[in-house]
Amino acid sequence: MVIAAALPAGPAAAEAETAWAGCLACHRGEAGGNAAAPPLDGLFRRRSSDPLPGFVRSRALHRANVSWTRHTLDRFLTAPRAYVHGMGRCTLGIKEAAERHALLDLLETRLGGR
Amino acid sequence: MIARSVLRVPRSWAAAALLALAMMAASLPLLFALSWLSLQVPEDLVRQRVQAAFANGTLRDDLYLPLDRTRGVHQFNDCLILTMVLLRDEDPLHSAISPLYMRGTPPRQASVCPKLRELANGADRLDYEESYYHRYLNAYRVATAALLPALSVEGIRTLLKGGSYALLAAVLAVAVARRNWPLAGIATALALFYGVEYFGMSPSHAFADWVVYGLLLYAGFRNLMDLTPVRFTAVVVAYASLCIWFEFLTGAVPMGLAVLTGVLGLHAAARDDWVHGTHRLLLGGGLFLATVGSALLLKQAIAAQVFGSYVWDMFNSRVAAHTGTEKDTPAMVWATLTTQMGHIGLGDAGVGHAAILAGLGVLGLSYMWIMLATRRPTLRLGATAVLLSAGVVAGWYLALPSHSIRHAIFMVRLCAWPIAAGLAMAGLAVAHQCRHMAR
Repeated sequence: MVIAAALPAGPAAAEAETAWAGCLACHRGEAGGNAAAPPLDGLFRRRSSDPLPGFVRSRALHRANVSWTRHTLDRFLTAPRAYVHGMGRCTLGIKEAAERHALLDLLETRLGGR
Repeated sequence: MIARSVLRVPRSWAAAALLALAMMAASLPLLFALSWLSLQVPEDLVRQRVQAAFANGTLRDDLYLPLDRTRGVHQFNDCLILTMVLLRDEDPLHSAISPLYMRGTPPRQASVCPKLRELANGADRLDYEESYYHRYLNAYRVATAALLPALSVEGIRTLLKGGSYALLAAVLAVAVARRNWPLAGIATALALFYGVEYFGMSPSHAFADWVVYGLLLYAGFRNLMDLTPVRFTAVVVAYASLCIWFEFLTGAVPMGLAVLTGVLGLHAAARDDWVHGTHRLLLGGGLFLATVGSALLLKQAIAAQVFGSYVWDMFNSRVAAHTGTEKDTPAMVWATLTTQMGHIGLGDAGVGHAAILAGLGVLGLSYMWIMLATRRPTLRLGATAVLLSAGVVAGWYLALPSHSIRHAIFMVRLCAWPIAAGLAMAGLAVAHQCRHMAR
């Protein structure tokens, strides 16, 4: 309930929830999701190169060594393959800025970004 | 006749502008081509050289060796450059543009020299974190790779340090032969106080130093005021290109700009056309900054095209980190500089302090003497340019305070230029006085 109260309301928030559900199709985050991709917990304190036991990282992401912040995630989520060339499996990105920002608000709240 | 002369000037400057653009555009492709060629040096040979260097003590696990005259102070960057030579991307184009380097991975979170040693001794690359070094042009990697087939790491260090002293000796010899006392003062000050003894053997410093000494040598033979616009442009753009090629945030660019400004000032003072001198000073400084800035930004743009737009975020975050201030910055700058002053003070921090204070004193007093003793515009212009050249160093410290603090161990070298400028200014004052008395 506390989390819900902290999240933005409106259509963008609903789309963010949908996008978040999309993330959880592969990633584990908060108390749910799958383990096909690295967990999202602690994302804002990590770099793209940080080792995550049990996962084979994308070489391109590994060598990019990007520090995940709201700014870098925003740019990454806009067009992941343009942000880091050579990535294999990944989302196609979220073009709508409002939806992306709502998802980032949600990620910050749920993953402790601030 | 008048119409022809009016037409002639713009045409030569148009040619100079076109040449500058062409040289700036060609600089990076040329470097990338050389970088690609340097990848032909076999990895096994590099590995053997590194193994031998660690075995005979040329390289050690310690990252900094203060006041070490044999290995140099700054082993960290030497190991980093050798790592860049050793590690190859699967795609040669990637390696030619931005080399790989290693970061530590738990539990083996060793720093750069131990990691290089482990890698040369056959450690698995998968045990390490690898990243691209996008933010510089990394020409020191190319030059070091080119030397490795012929020389050991120890041999490279000997060559670099010997070459540094040989170039400075040549500058001094030319200056004395031509009774160019300001230039003789610069060569002497750099030989004594630029820390050649402690940094002259390092690939991360020496190649850039050679570029600076090369300009001083050229300036001993030719007055830059007398060059045609095209040749002047070619010299300045080539010099600036080499400065940014070898810049590892070790001071090649600020030192390069300071030396160019000082040399142009001295050359302006030796001629009688102050308008021409002012023009050349502004043009030289502008061309230098434009060349350096365009090369750095173009490198990021090319890397972003090849590797992804994250390159810009990495670049911006580093700029923010280096230009940011930290708590108690002035005190920290002073404290860190103080501890490293021995590197430009013949091994003694007290000598370093005294040399800087004396240099600044001589610079200020000689400047005042010139301004009071003469009304010759070109001499005043030249003296002001030499004074401003010392200001480049202060400007660099103010522009990048965070970097200056963290890397004071080698950034202290820049403080040698005000000493050199002081001797150059004294040389200008003495030369003026001698000429005055001869009349």
